[in-house]
Amino acid sequence: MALEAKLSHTAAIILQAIHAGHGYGFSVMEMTGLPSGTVYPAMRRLERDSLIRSSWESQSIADAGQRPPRKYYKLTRSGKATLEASHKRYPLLARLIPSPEAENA
Amino acid sequence: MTPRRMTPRRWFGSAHLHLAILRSAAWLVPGPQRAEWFAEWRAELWYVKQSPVVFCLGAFRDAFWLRRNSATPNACHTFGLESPARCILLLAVLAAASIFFALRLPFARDMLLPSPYRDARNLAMISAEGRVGAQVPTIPIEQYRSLANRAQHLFTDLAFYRTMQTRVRTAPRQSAEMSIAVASANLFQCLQIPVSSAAPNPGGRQPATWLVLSRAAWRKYFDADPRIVGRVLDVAGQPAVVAGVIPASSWRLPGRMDAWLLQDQAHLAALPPHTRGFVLGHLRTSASPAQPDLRWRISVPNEQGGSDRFECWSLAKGDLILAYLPMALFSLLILSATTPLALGEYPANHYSPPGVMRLRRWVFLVIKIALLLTIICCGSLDLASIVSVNFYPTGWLAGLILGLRWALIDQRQRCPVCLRMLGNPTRIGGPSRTLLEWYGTELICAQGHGLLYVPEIPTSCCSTQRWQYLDPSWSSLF
Repeated sequence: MALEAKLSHTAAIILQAIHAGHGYGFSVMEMTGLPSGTVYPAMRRLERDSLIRSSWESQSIADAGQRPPRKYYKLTRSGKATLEASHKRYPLLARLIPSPEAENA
Repeated sequence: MTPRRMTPRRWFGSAHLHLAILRSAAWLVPGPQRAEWFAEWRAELWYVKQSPVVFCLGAFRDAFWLRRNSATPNACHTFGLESPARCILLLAVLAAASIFFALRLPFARDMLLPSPYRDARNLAMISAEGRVGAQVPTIPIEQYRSLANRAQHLFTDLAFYRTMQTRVRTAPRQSAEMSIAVASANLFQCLQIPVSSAAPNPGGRQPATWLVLSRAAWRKYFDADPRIVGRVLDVAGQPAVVAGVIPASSWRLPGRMDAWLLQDQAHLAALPPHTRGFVLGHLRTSASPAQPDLRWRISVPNEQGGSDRFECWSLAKGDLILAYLPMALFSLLILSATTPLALGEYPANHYSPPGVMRLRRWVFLVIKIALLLTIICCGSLDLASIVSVNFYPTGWLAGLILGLRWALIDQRQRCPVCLRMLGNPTRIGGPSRTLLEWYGTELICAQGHGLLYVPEIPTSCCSTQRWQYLDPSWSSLF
C-alpha cells in the first residue's frame, strides 16, 4: 500500500480523470482545470509507478480525423487498485469526476 | 468529449512561436526520449485553443521533470556542457547576446559607452522631486521659466524640451510621422554638440525655428540627401530650416528622437503653462557635484513666495570598474564564506600531465570566469534596463556570487587532463567508517584519465577532494 499512501490529491484527481475516460493530457487538463505544467509531469510519475500505461493511436485513425496521432493513457490493474484506495482517502473524488461505471449504475 | 478544433488560419498564424517554445523545452529532455516527448506535446497543442503560449510554457516543467528523473548519469546537471569546448562556446554565445542587448537597451548602453558630451561633468538633468531618472517629462514649462529666472546662481544655462509625434513634410507630396523634440534654441549649445555652421544662435538674428535631424531619420526619410542643410521643411504646419544632422550616439537624454525642433523663447512662451517637458541645466563650476553619477536636490524660490524642489542628476559618468569593484570584493567575501575555494589536490607524480596540460586547466578557468563576468556585467545592466535601474547593483552582486560559485564547482568536477565533466558517481563507505578511512563520492573520467575522490566531510586524512591519475595500463578498460 506504499504507493497508495504516496498518491497526492492532484495525482488522485488525474488518475480519476483518466479512469473516467479522459485518456489524453489536454482532456485531463480540461476536466481537472490543472495547468499543463502539473498534468504532464504527474502523468509521467503515474506511468513510472506503473499506475497508468500509454499507447499511441494508429496513424490511420489520426489521418481519418485530420489531426496528429494522440498518446492515450489507461489505468493499469495496480492503478485501479490504487484509485479505489484513494476513494476512501478522498471520498468526493468519484463524485467530482464520475467514472462511466458510476454513471451507468 | 469533443475536441476543440483550431482554425487553419490561427494554427498557421501562431504555430511557429508555439513550436519554437516546445522545441526549446525539448532540448532539456534526454535524447532518447526527446522525439516521442515532442510528438506528444505537438499533438496536444493541436487541441489547445485558449492561451497556447501558457500551455507550451508548461512543457518546460515537464521536460525538467523528465531530465531530473532520467536514468542518464548527470543528465540533470550538465545540460550538454560535458565538453570544455561546448562549455566555452555556450558562455561565449551568452556573453555575445548580453553585449548585443546591452548596446541596444538605453540604460545599459549609457553605462557601457563613454559620454558623448565634452562637458558632461557640468551637465545635469533636472526633474520633479522624487522623479529622478524618469523617462517621462516631469517639469511644467512655467517651472522651467521660474528656474531660468531664479536659479542663475546654480546654472549658466537651462534648456527645455518636450516630445511629440507629428508629421513632417519630407518631399513636395510626401510626409512622414516623426518623433520630434520641441526644444529651446539653446539645447545643443548646452550639450556642446556642434550641429552645423548655420546652427541657431539664440542671441543672433536668425529664423525662429530650426530643425536638427538624427542621422537615422536623415537616411530613412531624406535618402541621405547631402544638400539637406538649409532646406525649409513643413513641421506640423510650421516652416523650419534644417540646421544639421547629428549621429544617434550624440543623444543620451530621455526620449528617442527622429528630429529636434529648436524654437526661440517667443514660441515657447506660447505653450500652455502646464505643458510638461524635460529640463537640462549647465551647472556653474562652483555648483558642480564633487563625484560623478551624483544625484542631489535643489530648492528654488517661486513667484508665490514659496519654493519649488527639484532633483538633479549629473550626466557625468563614473568609471564602471571602480563602481563595480566594491561589489566584486564583497561578493568574493560572501563566496569564501559559502563555498570552498580550493580546487582540490592534484598530486604530482610520473603519471601526472605535463605543464602545458596544467596550464590549459588554468586557462580554461580564467576564460570561463572572464566570460561569466561579461555575462553578469552586461546581463545585470540588461535586466536593470528592462526591470528597474535600481536592480543593477543587486543583480551584479547576486550574479557574481552565483556565477563564480558555479565556475568553481564546474572546475572541480572536470578531469584535469581532458577537461571533460566526470561521471558515474559512486558512493563509497559510510559515516560509521569516518575514523578508519574516508567516505564520500568517487567519480571517474570517461576517457580513463583518472578518479576523483570527494569526501563527504573534511577529515584529517582527506580534507579536500583528491585526484588520482590512472596509468596507461588501465587504458584497456576504457
